[in-house]
Amino acid sequence: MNSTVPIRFDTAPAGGDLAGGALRTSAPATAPARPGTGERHLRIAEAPQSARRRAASPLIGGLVAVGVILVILATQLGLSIAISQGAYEARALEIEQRDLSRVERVLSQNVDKLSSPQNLAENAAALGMVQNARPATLRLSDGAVLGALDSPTSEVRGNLVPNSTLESMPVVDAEGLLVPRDAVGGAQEQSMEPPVRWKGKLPAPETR
Amino acid sequence: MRPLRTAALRRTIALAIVVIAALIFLVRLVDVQMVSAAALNEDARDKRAVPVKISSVRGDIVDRNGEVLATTDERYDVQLSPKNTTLNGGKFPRPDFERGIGTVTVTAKEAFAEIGALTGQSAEEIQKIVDDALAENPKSDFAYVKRGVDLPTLNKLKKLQIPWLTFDQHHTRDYPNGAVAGNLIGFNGFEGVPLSGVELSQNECLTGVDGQETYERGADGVALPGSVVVTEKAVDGGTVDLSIDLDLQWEAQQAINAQVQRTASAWGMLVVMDVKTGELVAVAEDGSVDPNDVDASDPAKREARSFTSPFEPGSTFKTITASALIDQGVATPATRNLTPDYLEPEPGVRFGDSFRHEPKQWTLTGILTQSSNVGTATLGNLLPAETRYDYLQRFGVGVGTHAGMPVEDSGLLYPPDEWDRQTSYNTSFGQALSATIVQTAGVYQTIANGGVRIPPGLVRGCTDAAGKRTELDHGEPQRAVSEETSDQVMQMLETVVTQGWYKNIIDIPGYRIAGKTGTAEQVDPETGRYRSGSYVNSFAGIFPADDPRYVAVASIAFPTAGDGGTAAVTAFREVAEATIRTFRIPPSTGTFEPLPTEY
Repeated sequence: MNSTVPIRFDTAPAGGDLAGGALRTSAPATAPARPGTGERHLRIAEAPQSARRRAASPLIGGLVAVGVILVILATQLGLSIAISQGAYEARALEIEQRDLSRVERVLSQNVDKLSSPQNLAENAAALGMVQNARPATLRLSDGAVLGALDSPTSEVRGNLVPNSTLESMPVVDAEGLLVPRDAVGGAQEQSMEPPVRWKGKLPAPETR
Repeated sequence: MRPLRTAALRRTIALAIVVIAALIFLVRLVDVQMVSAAALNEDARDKRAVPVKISSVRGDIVDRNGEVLATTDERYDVQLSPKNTTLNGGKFPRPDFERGIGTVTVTAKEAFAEIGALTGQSAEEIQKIVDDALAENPKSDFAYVKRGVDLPTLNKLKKLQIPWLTFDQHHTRDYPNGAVAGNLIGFNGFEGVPLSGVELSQNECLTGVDGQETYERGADGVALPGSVVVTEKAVDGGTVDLSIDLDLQWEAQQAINAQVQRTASAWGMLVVMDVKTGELVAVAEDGSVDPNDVDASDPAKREARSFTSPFEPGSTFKTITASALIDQGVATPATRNLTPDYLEPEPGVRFGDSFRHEPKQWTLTGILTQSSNVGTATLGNLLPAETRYDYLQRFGVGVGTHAGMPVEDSGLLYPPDEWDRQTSYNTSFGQALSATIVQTAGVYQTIANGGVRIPPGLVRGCTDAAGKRTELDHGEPQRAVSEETSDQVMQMLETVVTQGWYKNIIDIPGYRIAGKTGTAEQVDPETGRYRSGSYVNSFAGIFPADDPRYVAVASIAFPTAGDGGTAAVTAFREVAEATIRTFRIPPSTGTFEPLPTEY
């Protein structure tokens, strides 16, 4: 746009006519007359050929200029739409990420709760497990067995250490199925009556 | 020529106008962009930008294996806009989920019932919240429906799509193991203010620094692209690690709870300490608080009484007198003493044994085995009071501990110049002074560790969000008695266990145990005198005796059903078995020849 303006200003006095079409038609008429004339009058130099060709289309120049502006505007609009669309997408993704990290946090905390000693002990008792109170040790250097092999199993004691976070956690029942904790009438009561509990010493495998 | 000059003039004027305009713009540009830029930016941001606090997350407390003992949970507050509940006659449209198209009209009353069904409130209760808020301010735009709901409830509430129902989040503390180590971890009060335990003592490490970010946002709350400015990053709190072992702590609490319940005692404590490091691996008390549900516990049992409640230890401290005698070269384990069951060594001073007996020919080992007050006081009196006071202090009695709890009582030990004659004798068998159970464990740790006392530790250190670790200083190890002395005392203590009435209760096949019982009188705070017929029964033991690894002390106070001594020894054996399983301690090697107890 800027480059076309001076050209139009310069050509206007030279051609003496503002109309582009008139300039183009008068040019061939004057050109052949030049070599034929003997006397040379001072006259305004004609605009160079290239300038004249450019100057030939100020309307097209203007249209191009407006077009460029429109293209720039359209591009900018497009870009800003794209960016703000991106902002919405980013926000949606941020919300999704937040929700997922919330879920992840809850799940990992549930794992912490389920792996608490109270929960493990209650479930183990419900499944009829007993504890080998005094494990013996095998010394690898000489194969000696340290400690007594006839160790008694310790009786299962109901959990005596409260944990209120477990109230919402499921517990296994006698069949080993997950059931809501309050459905079995309290885990403490349940651990007193396991399905089958091993009595006496743990059986040792008879290997030789 | 005239038109030409006019044209030139015109151009000059135009140029001048352009230049002047450009200059004006330039000046203004410099002013806006550089001179008053900061102030303008500030103004602009305040008009469109929203500063948002980024909450830092309070750090975790973990056990020696990194198992989480305390962590931070996110909870959600359910809020409503009271004035908006009455818009359009209290009705609002909602997408019809059943048909999948169109909307259904829901009244506020129905919505209250739906919310209440999820939050556990009745429709009337929520209606009352709205009415109360509107009565106070007819344009009220904010009221809590319920604070601290969990994620599933939040998601269900969101699905209701009630336009005037909003949600906010806040952090709460979560203790996945409930009352396991609840006495040590402590708990937080209203608005997350720490009230006790490690939560309080390590608050500085656990607390993070809140951050702030500022961004401009449109009417729909979406941040304008490129406008997010994080002015301060949030720094999360550090992680505090304890020397406690989670599973052993639970087994210790099980053991002490069971014995306290069985004997209907007032209280019980049970601690396990690592001999080589002085670290406490379990500090159990009966009825410890569940920090998730503080109100459910006995207010008198919420603190870590192992640190805050000293008591007169009684006969377990005869070990100190014996150690001082041997370390000073005044006596040996075989030193003979004809011991009556009652003695009045000087006018107005008298003490007796716990059972009647003829004068016996006991060695110092025998005196410990029979737990004779008369014998211990007689021999102990061979040392001046100042020397015995010095040894008590070397074993950590009357000296404060720095394990990492907010309050650690140093017990009561009067300086020797304030001892009257009776007190001078009584201190030799663990009366007329007091110590916490942790200090008592420290006494036996010193003997088991070749005479070097390592101050007890509970909090190991703090790792901040950047990974920088700070160890907590518990104090320097100090030699209390010589290695030979501690060896001889170990042999005496092992003899005590092999000859004791409780040898069948305490027996763990394959493991040698050294230890000492105690039955201590306690001052009744109401009368200021010793309670009659009601004692604190203790057992302090070291295992395995051939290669000491752990010390455990059990105390049972004022049993009303059954024998407290048996209960204390049983609790010790159970926790010793659990410690052996937890740390996979190999059985003892070699055999033990008991020292002579009589001559």
